[in-house]
Amino acid sequence: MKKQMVNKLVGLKVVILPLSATAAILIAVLFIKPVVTDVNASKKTVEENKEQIGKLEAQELKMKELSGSLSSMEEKPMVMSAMPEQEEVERYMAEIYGRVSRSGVILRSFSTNSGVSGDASGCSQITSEASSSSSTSVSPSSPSPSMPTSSPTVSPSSPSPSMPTSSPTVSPSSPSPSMPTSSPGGSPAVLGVSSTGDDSSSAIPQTTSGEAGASQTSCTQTIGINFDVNGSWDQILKFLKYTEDTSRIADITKISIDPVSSQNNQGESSTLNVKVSLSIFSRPKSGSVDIAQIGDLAGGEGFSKTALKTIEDAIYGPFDYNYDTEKTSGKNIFK
Amino acid sequence: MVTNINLSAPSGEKAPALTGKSTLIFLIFLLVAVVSVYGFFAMLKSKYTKEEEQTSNIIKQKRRDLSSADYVEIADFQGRLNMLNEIITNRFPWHSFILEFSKYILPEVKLASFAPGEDVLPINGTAPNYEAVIRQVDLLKKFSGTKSVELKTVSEAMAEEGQQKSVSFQAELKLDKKNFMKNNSSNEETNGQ
Repeated sequence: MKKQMVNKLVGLKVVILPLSATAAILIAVLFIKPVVTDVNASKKTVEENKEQIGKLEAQELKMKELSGSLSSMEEKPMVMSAMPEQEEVERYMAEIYGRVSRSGVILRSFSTNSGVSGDASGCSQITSEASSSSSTSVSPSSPSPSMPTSSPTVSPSSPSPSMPTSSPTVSPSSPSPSMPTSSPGGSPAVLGVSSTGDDSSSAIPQTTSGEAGASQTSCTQTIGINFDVNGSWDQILKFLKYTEDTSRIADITKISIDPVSSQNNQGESSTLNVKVSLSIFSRPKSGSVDIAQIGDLAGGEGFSKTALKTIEDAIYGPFDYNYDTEKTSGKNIFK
Repeated sequence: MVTNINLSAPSGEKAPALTGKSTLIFLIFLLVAVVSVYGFFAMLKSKYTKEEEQTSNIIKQKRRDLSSADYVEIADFQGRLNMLNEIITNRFPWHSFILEFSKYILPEVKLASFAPGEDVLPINGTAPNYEAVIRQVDLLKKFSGTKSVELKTVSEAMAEEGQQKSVSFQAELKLDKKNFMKNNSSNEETNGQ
C-alpha cells in the first residue's frame, strides 16, 4: 500500500514538468505577449516622434530663416499691394483713375460693392464699407472732383489718383487725394462717382497651389467694382489691358461693349461704351497659423516662387502700349 | 510453447532522478524566468511610454512654437501668394480675348454689341451680303475661344437712301474659355521666349 502511494507521487512529479511548461507558455502568451506588443508599438511611436521632432526642428530653423528674409524681401510690397489687408477701394479707384488718364478713355461712373469669401471663422460678416448706403456723385463740371467717400477709411493719407501706375508699391503715405488736372493720355473726366450698398459675395476657391502646396484657410474679401467708360476702340483695348496689370490684382467678371455713336469720319474711331464689372481682393491679416500650412511652407523651398513669378508677370509683364497699327489693336468690330 | 517476458524494471537499475527537490528547483527557476521576462518587458514598456510622453510633449511644444505669432506673418504672406496665384491663373484674359476675337471678324462685317455671358456670346451684326454672313460664321468656328457657332437669323436690312444694302444677322457663339486660356498662355510663353 505504501509502495503504491510512493509510485503515485513519482507519477505526479512526472506530470508536473509538462504542466509547468504549459503554464509558462500560457503566461507568456497571456501576459508577456501583450506587453511585448505594447513595447514594440511604443518603440515605433517613439521613433516616429523623434523623427517628427527632427523635422519640426528643421522647420523651425527654416521658418526663422524665412522670417528674417521676409522683412527684407523685395516682392513683399508688391504682394501686399496686390492683395492688401484693408479693402482700400479708394486706392484702387486712384489707380484706375491713373489708367483712365493714360488710356484716354472717359470714366463715366464708378461704383463698389463688397463681400466676403472664404471659410475661416471670423470672416462671415459683410464688411462695413459695403454696408454704407451713402452715394457720392460728382458732376462733370466739377473743377476738383473728390474721391468716393463711401468708405470710412478714406483719409488724407490715401494715395494720389495720379500715382505712377507702373510702380508695384503703393505707399500708404502717398500724398494728395486730389484729382490731377492734366494727364498724359488726355484729361479724364469723372461723370459720376457713386457707391452703392449692394452686398455681394463670391466664392474664391480654396487653393492648394504653389510650390509649398500650402492649404489655405483663407478669409479673402471680394470687393465688386463696376465702372463705365467711353472711348475709342484703341483706347478701350488699352484701358482693358491696363486693368489687367494694375498693382492691385483684379479679375474682370463681366464686360459689355456697345457703340455710342456710329459716325465714321476718316481716321476717327466711333465712340464705344464699356461696362466692366470686376473683383478686387483683400485679405485681413490672420491671427493664427495653420500648422499644416507652416509644415508645407517650411518643408518646401520656402515662399512659392511660381506664385511670385505669376504675380510679377501679371503686374510687370511686357506689353506694347502702342496701338498704332491694326496688327496690335485688332479690328474694330463695330466699324 | 509459452513466451516468458519480464516487464518489470530490473532491480539493479536506477530510477530517473526526479526527486521532489529538483522538481521544486525547476519550478522556481521557471517561475523566476517567466517573471524576469515579464519584468524586463514591463520595464521596457514603462521606459518607452515615458519616452513617448516626453517626445509627444516636445512635439506639442515645437508645434506651439511654430504656431506662435512670430510666424503668423510668414503664413499670412504665403497664403496671400497662393491666393493671388490662384486668382491670376484662373482669371479670364478679356483683353486678349477681344483682341483675338476681332481678328475673326471680317473687315466688311460690323457688330452691334459685344456682351458675352458666362458661356455664350450673342452676336448681332450686319454684313454686306449673305455670302459674307456665311463666311463670317465659318471664320468664327475657327476661333480658339469658340465651342460652336449657331446662326440664329439672317435678314435683309432696309437700306436708307444713298446707303448700300446690307444683311443683318444674329448668331450665338458658345464660348470655350478654357481652350482659349490654354492657347493664350501657350502663345504668351512662345512670345516670351
